Amino acid sequence: MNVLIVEDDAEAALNMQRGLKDAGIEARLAGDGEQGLRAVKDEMPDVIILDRMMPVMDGVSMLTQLRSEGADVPVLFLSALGELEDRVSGLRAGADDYLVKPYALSELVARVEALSRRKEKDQVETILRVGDLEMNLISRVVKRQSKIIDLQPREFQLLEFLMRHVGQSVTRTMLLEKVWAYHFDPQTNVIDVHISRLRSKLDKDFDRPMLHTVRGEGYQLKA
Amino acid sequence: MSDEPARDPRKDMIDAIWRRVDALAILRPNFFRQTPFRLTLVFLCVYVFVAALVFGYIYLATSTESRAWGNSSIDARIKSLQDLDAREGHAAVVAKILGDDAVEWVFAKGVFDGSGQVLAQNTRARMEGRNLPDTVIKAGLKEVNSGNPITSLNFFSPSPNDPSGCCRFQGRILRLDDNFFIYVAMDMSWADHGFQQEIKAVAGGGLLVVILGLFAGTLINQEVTRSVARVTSVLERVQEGDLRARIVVRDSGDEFDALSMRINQTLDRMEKTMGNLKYAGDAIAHDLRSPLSRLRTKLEVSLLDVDKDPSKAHDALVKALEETGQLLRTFQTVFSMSRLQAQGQAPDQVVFSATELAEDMAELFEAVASDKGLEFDFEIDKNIRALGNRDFLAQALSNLLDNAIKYTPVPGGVTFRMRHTSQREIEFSITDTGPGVPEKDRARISERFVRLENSRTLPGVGLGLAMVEAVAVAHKGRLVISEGPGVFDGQGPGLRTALVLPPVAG
Repeated sequence: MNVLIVEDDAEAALNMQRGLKDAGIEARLAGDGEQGLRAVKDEMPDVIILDRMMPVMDGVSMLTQLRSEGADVPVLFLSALGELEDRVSGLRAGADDYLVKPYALSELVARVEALSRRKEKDQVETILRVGDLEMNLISRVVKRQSKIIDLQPREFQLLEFLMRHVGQSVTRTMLLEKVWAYHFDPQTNVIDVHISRLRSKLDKDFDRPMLHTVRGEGYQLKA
Repeated sequence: MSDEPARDPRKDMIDAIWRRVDALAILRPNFFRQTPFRLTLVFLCVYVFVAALVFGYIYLATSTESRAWGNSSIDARIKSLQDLDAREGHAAVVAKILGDDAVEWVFAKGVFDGSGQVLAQNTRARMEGRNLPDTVIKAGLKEVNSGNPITSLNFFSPSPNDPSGCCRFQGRILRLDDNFFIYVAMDMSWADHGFQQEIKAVAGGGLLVVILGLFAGTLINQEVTRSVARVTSVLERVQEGDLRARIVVRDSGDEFDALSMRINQTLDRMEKTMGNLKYAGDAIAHDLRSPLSRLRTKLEVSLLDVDKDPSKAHDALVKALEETGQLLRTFQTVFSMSRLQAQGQAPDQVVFSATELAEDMAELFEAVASDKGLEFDFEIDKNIRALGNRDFLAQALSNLLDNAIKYTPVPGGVTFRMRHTSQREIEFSITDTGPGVPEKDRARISERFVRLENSRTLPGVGLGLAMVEAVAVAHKGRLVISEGPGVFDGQGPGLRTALVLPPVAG
């Protein structure tokens, strides 16, 4: 995967690059919006990480121009803590996801992976398959090794999200945001409880567990 | 003890007074430039101008009239003398002039020959005669001889009663023959005197108006200055950082009171906002200090451990990361609360389904409660809508539900309800069967970083309810903390917390 980091804080950019590299993702750096646009012209990245505040050309301007030129590359927007307006303006300008600074590196990596995957999976599917797990999106039936797994609606959504991001770490915040559509800090193990419920249904009767906990990061569904 | 000499309190007082005077001096760099006084001056100038116009008009009118009246009186006498001369000759004219009685006192009459030599004068003319100079007679003669049968004669003379004053005579010369001229002149002082009286009256009255006007202007000025000074001195104190300074309102209901009240209201709001900001800043600084120093100590200890046993490095870093994460979360919460308080209302408020929010929260936390072994019930009314920021409200409800589940021991239960109150307010309530909170503590548990004794063993930093309170206020709602269902079967009395939002208009 090829990621473009557009961020004027060189140290932050290098840390991001380092973190992504650890996850097997190569990243190029650009110091401002204009450099960012040039880098996009050189080679279209799979995902762009875009900082809000930058000299010369800020994130919103760059994003607006990028979208006006028809580039549909997924963009992860970074905004500073508390600047809700930035977040809104970023999404309005066409960002696909946002992250508020300060963030955990693992959160950033997880979101970048999710964004890159989202593009691949954009085509309409009716059946999701991960290993011996099968999810029919039309009949809403989930089977593992042909055995039907009975899921509550939310558990179904949760599993669907995990299946769409198979092999990736997804964080608790991502799950709350993408599955429940809330953006707040639960300060508690809410997501863990729901995952463990899902896990008990998914893995209990089988030798090989699929739903793994990634320490300090979140969860991962493996084939 | 310090070596500093004790300060003289009187000196302090004098200093204070001087400072006050200085402050007023700033207010009045120039007395004449103050608005009320300038207005007074403008008024007085206009008054003087108008008075001068009126006076000028009176002068013109009266002087024209008196001159005309004088002329007709003179002409009548000239005519009568001329007639007498025609009838009875020069001698009769001389006799008539010499025989003037007191009635004719205001008239000076005389006869002179072709050389200007005075032949006869009436009594008044004799008295004023020395002041009827030869030059005047010569000039009159010359003019009369050049063809005008009658010519004018004007001269001044000290008044008989008042030698220093002057009488103004207005008169005519008539040529009866080459060597016989008569003149009749009238003392116009009576008209001048009347006019002088008028001048005196008008000028005196005007002066009085000007003086009284200046006096009133000064008084008004002082009054206004004092009112302005009350405002300005308070604003100066505010400028110097004393946000508690307020203007004394005198209940007179004038515009200064209105202005003062307005300024006071603004200051109230400013003080509150500044107080909140200061408090938030203090809170952030204060509350991050201890976790930060704890983190630092932990890192130092870890470093010592790692020096001895390098295999512990990974664990130490993971621990440090967790600690940092917790610290950042605390910081974010304090920060969000401060922003909510500073802005006064939650951002991005929309009308949304409160029913859906409550159902989502119930679904999220039902799992947590049953995972712990607690009963979890919920009653959520359908089709209830609320105005607000969904994420902030979710955060608040999450905090309330999390608290209830955390502090309720097993066996026990948590009930979550959402309904319209009789006032159409939207009430989210959470009731638990835990130990509850003694009434005396209920008011302070929603303060920042307040944790009751028996809660210290559980995780948390004591911001949950403070955040709920902040969210409630930012939605013009409230957080109500009350007793739970009571003691029953070894459980309770429990706690009931309710987040109440105002009804949605329309």
